[in-house]
Amino acid sequence: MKRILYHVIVSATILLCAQMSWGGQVKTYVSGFSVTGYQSKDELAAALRTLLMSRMSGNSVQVVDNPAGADVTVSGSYLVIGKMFSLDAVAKKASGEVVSRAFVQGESQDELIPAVGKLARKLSDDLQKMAVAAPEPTPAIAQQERAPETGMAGNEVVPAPSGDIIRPAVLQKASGSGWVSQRLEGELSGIAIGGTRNGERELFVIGQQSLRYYLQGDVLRLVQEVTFPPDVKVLRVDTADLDGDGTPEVYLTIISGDRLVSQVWVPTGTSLKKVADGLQYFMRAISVNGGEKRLYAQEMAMDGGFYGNVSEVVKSGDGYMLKNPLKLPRFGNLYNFNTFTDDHGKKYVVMLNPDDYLQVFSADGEELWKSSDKYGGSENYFKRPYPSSVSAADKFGSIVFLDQRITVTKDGEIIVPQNGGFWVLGNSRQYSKNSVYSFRWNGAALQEEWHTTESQNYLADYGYDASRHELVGLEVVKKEGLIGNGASVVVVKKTE
Amino acid sequence: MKVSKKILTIAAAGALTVATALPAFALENEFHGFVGLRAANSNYVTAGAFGQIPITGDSKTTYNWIEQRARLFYTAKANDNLKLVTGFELDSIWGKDSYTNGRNEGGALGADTVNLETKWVYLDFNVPSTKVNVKAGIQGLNDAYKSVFVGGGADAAGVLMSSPMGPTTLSLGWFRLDDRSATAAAFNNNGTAAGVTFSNGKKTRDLLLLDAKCNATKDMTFGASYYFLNNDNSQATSAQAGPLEPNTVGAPSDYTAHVLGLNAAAKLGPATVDGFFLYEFGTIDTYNGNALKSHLNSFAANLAGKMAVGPGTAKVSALYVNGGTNAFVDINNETSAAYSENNFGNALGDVLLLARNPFLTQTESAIIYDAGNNGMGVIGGSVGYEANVTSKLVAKANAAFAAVAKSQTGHDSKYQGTELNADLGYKMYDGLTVGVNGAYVVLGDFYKGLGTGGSDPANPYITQVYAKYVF
Repeated sequence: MKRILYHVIVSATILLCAQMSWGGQVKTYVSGFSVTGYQSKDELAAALRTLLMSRMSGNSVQVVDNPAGADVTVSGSYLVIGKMFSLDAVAKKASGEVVSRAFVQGESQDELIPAVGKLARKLSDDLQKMAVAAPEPTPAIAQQERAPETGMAGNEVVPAPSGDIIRPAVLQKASGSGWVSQRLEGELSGIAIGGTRNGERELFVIGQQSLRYYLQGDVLRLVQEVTFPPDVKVLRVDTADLDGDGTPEVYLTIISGDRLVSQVWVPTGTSLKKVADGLQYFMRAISVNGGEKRLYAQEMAMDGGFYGNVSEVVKSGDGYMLKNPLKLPRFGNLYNFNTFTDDHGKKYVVMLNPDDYLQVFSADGEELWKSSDKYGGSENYFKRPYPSSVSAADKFGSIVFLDQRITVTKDGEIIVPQNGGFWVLGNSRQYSKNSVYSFRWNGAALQEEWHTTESQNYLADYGYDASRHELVGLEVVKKEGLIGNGASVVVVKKTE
Repeated sequence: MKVSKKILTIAAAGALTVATALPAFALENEFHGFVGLRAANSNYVTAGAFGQIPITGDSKTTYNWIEQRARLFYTAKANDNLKLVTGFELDSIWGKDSYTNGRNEGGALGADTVNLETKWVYLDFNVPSTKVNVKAGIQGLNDAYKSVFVGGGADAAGVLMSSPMGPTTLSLGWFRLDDRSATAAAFNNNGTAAGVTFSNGKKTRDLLLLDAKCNATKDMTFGASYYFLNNDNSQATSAQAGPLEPNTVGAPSDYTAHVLGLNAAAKLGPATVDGFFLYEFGTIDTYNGNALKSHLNSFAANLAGKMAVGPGTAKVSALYVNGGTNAFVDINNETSAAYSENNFGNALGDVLLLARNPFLTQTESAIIYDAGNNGMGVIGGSVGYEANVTSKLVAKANAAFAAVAKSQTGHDSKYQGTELNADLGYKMYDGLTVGVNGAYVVLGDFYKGLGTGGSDPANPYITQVYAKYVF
């Protein structure tokens, strides 16, 4: 009996020590998630990591913030195909030995958070089994060695980014560097940067039937507002100095029925003066290859689509003429492209395709790269006479959205905004958040340089002020409703 | 059971492996749709009615009904060169039928009806290394002539290939409109016994289309077409309730129609004009089940224009479609129901009663239901004006007239009537328009004495309140 009792006590002691050798827990570091097939990759990856960490913490698992002190490192992936998603994770020891693999599938985003919980349980169960089956030797020493690291966990220094790994926090542009205007009445749709007058920056903002002339100093000061009749729609506003007098003119692309009736205005500092009317062109100012800003134009076909080449507009006496036509890839039009050159002087076209994926083409039209995420995203559209292939009642084929600007800077940065939101279905678009991204061509793909912090508003339009290294965005903070006209703000963000 | 579980596990693992191994094959999902609601009052048009409005009574009774239509279009886009396009429709008339399955039902208390209709299922792909686009499957079918021959909501199974060549786009299509395998059980008038079955692929109606459209300049387009309609449907089906109207071709007939067309549109100064001319020739071998061997020799023409006037746009339109012994052959549904598959209203102008109007959902009756006007032809025209009262409020007013092209026995005149209509639409949100409209037709002497007891029938009217959401 004594012998039995002795064995029981010794066994219990050994078992207790074995459990204590892990401190009762497996120290687990969640390294992160890769995300495929979802727009806001960084945001979702960070959220999934946080969710998994909080759900794995428990009796058998201690989640640590530092990989150096971890017994096991967990990495995961999130893949969306159609509406199906799969969460996969693998837990490995420092030696590389796999101790657990698990996955959970789901059919909608509603199932994502519960799926993370299931994944955490599966991993935790395996880690618990591992802890029981293979206790680490010399528990006392191990605990002593780990103690200081555990003590540092609360205020540890995140290693500086190096190599290929860049933390999102480093990529983001500080939101504090910006400037936000007062609330502007109306759901406004476009903005263009003009010149400078007495240190104040000229800004031209359009609504569907209005053009506003602002001077931006410490506050945004309205100089003049021009309104247009209800049968026209102002589609775009751009600025360029075609007459070379140092004052950029304002080019408005305006549609009336099935015709373009574009206009040119000149700011005087105290007012706006119309200098041309009834121009049958879509117009857009572009700094092609990051060079000087020039005005380009394209004509409208009989069916309301884009017609012919995109050509440069030059002043010719009192009128305008087109020259230097550009050859664009398939789906290219005046509003969805820009061009850049690499270090060897090779030319490329960067373009948003009809599904809002960013594409890079060689000069001869070969597609070289296509983004995984969508960029751009615009609610600004015009209606063209609907094609005959669609019955009269439907008409959805008649909507043409004008894409967001792609800016190429002098040093080769490619800036493109990304609007996202909860409701983008067919032609019914209700974007609700945005971020602006900067890329650089690395010879094979566009590589992200930075992006701005996410704003919880739809970005209607933006301009890049190269002289000040500032993004000047027009955000809609309240959509137009049945009664209200909506509201917008001008947001300025430093890029350097 | 163990084996099943194992198979399931392997299948699940395999599916996951395939899914994770093909991240580049993520489909791009695209949704579009249309939802229409309308509440209507009329003295002739009734809920769910289709076809020609029978203007034969006094019709002092007012009918009112509310109906709704949803069209949902889903496109699964594998890449820029390949996509599957589907389209579905759900119709209901409020108060009509529940717990019974079928199209247009489920509007009565209880709802719960299987009433999903399939409109489109086709593959849309580009042939590698070429500029040729192919659409193969059940799809929208449209001519290049404002649907006077076929289109404006017609759906058919076939293949349509198109390719740009410089400023010109060439299209070549073939559609199988019918393939019948049995005569009607009750009605047959060509000597074949009723209810006789025969092989598929023999009693067919096929349509070949060849279209060319050239954007000559940004302000001018012109096009040319050749259509070939071959109808071997010499047997009647139950869709034909009785013999055909004089001078029309239909299912019991056996005929070929060659259609040559020219169309053009141009911006001329402040005006935009467009027009077309269609010429038909061919042979009608059997008519209404009887050998005929007559030659087809017919035509249709249209001219329309619009111009900015004051704060709005003025529009004018004229249409002629030949009738009588050389009646214009258009495409109607001959084997399933008496639906017109040529919604030609655009060629006549903005009308609500004279021709099928754009607000129609499942109730689709009109004074002139098909472009051929039941073999009588059409002489018609309209003038209209449309203006934005505000950026969200659009007002329209139109006046239109119509007459048959050839004198008909039993009618005092060719003149069918004059329509006056007006519409006020308010864009509540992007895509959502609510509005009200109404139309009144002053009947011509074509209907003189055709009312009850030889009286003149009452003039038709319709008023509608509607909401349309397009996304």
